[in-house]
Amino acid sequence: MAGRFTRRLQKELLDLQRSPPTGVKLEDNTTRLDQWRIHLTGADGSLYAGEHFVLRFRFGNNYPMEAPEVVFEGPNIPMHGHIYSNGHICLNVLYNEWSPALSVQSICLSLLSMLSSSPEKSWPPDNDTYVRRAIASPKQTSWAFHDDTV
Amino acid sequence: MKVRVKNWSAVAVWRWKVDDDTCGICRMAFDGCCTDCRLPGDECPLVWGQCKHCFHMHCILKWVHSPNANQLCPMCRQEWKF
Amino acid sequence: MSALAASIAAQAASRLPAVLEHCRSIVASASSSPSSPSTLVLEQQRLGAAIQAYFGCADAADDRQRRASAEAVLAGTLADLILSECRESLRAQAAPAFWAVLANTPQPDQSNSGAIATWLAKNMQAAFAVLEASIAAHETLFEAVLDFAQSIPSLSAAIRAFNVNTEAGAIVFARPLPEFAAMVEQFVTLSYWAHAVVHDDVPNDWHKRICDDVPEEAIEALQQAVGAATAAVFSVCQRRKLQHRVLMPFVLSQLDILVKAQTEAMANLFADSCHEAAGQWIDTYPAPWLRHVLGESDECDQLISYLKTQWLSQSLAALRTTELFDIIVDYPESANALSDLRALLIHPQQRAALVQTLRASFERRLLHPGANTPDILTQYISAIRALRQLDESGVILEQVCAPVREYLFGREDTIRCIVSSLVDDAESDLRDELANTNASANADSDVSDTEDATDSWNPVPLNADLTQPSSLRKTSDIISLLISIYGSKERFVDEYRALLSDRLISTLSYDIDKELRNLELLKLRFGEANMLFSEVMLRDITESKRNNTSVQERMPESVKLDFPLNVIILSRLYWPNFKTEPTPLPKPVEDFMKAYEAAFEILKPTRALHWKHSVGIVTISLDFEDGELEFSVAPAMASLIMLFERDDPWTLGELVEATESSTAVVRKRLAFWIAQRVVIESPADTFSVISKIADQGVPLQGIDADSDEEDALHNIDGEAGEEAEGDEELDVTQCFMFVSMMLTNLGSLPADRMLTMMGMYAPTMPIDDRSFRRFLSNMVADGKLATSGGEYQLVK
Repeated sequence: MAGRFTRRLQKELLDLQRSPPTGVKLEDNTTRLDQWRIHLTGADGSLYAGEHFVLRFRFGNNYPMEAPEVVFEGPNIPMHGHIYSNGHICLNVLYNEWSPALSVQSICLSLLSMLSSSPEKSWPPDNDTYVRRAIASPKQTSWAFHDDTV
Repeated sequence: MKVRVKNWSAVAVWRWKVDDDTCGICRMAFDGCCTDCRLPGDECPLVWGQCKHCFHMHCILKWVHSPNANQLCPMCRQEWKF
Repeated sequence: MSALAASIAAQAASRLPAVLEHCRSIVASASSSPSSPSTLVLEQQRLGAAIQAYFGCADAADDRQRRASAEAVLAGTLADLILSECRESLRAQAAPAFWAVLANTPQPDQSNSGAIATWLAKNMQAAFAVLEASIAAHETLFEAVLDFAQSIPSLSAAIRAFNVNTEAGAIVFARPLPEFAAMVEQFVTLSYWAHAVVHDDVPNDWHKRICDDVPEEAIEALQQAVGAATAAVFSVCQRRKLQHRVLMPFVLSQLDILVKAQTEAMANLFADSCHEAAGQWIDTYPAPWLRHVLGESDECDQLISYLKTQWLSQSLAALRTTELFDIIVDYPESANALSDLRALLIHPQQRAALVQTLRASFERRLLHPGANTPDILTQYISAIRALRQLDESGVILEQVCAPVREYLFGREDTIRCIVSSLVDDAESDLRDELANTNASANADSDVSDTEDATDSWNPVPLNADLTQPSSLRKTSDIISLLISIYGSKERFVDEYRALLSDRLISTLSYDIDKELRNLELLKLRFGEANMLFSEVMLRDITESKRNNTSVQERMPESVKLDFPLNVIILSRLYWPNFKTEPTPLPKPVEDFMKAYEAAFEILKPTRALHWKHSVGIVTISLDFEDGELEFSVAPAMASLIMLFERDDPWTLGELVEATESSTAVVRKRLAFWIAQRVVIESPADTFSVISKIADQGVPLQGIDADSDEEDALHNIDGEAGEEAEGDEELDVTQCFMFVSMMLTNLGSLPADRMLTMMGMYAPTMPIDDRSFRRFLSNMVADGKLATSGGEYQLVK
């Protein structure tokens, strides 16, 4: 992709490679600029301590004017009240609350903190219905952010 | 001995009067230019919102004109006013 | 039984009376003891014994085997005797007759070459005529012996292999006159003269000598006499197969002289194609002469062909190989010499020798501290072009120039030289190359995408495997080759940025038309994205000009200075980092600058100015009792000398305090003024300004003031500024004293060794590698030192 903000993404990529925050690691063989995979490690003392999760970021041409598409991938989807078993995440900053001041790193840290503050491991109550109806990208979903406490 | 100056060519650099080094939107240096520009300075000016947050003018215009922005400052989510 | 003996006796009596006489006498007195120990006598005794044995066994007629064996012994013995007789006869008659001719006529005065030539021609001709006659006589005699021997098959077989020519040659020339070799040599040489003099192509020294000694009108007669004599002698030699025994060594040495002379004549003729001319020369001169001397023969043809394809070619190839460095210097005027060499390089070992020789020349003549980097570059560029013509595979170029590239890599000013010759006004190869649109085409891949500036340009390692195709060897683009010395173009781009920065800041004017033109060329070569900084820098200058005008108009009267103070305002991220050493300036200047800042902020309300006093140029005049000195220096340097206007002398501590700088910085700035002989340090750490220009004394020699000025102007962050320290203080006279002392005692030394020794003998002398090498190259330039193979010696 040769979008206008390629340079911002390159910068973010370099930063993440050089000095990743604790629990966040860019997949080693990242070759595409428009799709990254990031490994999260559950924070010590949380319900997810030591567990590994994989996040997939996809960036559109308008990034950072529009949010990246972020989902959990792979066999291990964190069991969490705001994360559906198909990997979709119910987090407002990924959708209508996005701001270009946010970054890949800040989203990763938000997700880690979301996991850390979870009181129990369970799927969202409407998981089955959502997953059955869900379309490929969570960005097409009309989210109702009913619960901001978790 | 007396010293007489005949000519003085001085060198200075300019800087934007801003606290941050980089623009919160494009992450480029303020004293450089935004990702759309080639030349810094007059060609790629900075703007301050009423919330005191500062961005490359080209960056914040792009943001406030995008459908997701809701006219909010990317930093503090207050309404953006020039 | 006695029938055979009688037959031998009868036939021998008619043909070989001597043999028969001996046979008889031996048979008669078989038991008598030998009267003399000569071989002939011994042969006679053997013959006698053989005959007795033969007759003895012939008596026992029934023993056929014994008889046959006795007959064989008799025949063998008889053969030995006959051949001994022949040899003895040659030895006793032919040889003395031949040598007598040469020995008995006294040689004329050596200084008269005409007389010598005449004498040689006459006597050689006479001697060989005598020789021919005696060999002919012996040939006749031997033919008679062969006839006689036919009746005895075993005798005939034993003597048939005898060759009179061979025997005569061996015997006659077994003990030549001591002066014979010299005579033949002169004779052969003379024959080439007689052969070639009509064409005026006689590289041996006879021609000159004869011209000096012989009246002009007599020369033709002499040439004809010599021609006739040589024809006669050579025909005897040919008929009697004496070429190898008598002539060949001198023919070959004559050819050697000719080849050497011909090669020498071609030295430094790089503009002409000499290879073909050499072939024509052989056909015209040496080839007919060789046929004349040796006769038409396969051997002669082979010799001519060898002369053409090997001897002279190799000699010429060797010449051009040793001259290759100069051929490269002359390229492209020397293109013909390269074509020659290319055609002459046949053997792999020639190429290996060429690579070795040229590498050695490069090392001896170019890769030493005395050579200027621009010269090394020029020769390297020339070598790239020339060696491509010699070998388009690029292997020779790569092998020869690997050390050049390494050396250039190690020289710190190489990049700067390349970059400045790319963009300098002066006509330069590289500038042509840069303007060459074909060559720039290979930068296309970089130019196309300005956004994605990630580099796809991959350097080829210096020690590329020669068995593999190498893109570096194939590339014909000189700029790419130069850039590849460093592996990437980033260093070039950075260096260009530093260079451009220097040029822009050191020009007092805002005129940048030339730099703008350069920029367009460099964009084509390095890509627009890589040249963006340069675009910004140039725009800064044009904008500074406009802004400076506007700001100056807004300056309040109260701060106006009595000299012009103009400002260049830079976009800091696009220029090299400038040092920000604290630099207190004279109060009026400080006030002016404060007002300037304020006026600028009216013009650009959201921007602020930050001064960089380590760069910029202040032109000052130092007025002394007896005149004035003008300097253009950095503001920091100017403000330092201004302190002496107020107070004099200063201690180091006071200056450190007054300038708010570190001791090291103050020392460095003082060193500049001390080197300019404006400031004197006396006693230590106390500084004062001279009161009269007359007090300056002899200016420092050897160290070019330019470099000091450069240091004074460009205090840019980075190595260059740091390493320049110490340059100012090298005492040339003292330094030369030590160097000449070392070289007088030790002959020649490399720079490193001398530097180490200086460290031991003169530990107080402030000297670093760079300034020492510069000192050495200055001494070489002044003709005080000579350098070869990386070692220096005194010029006596």
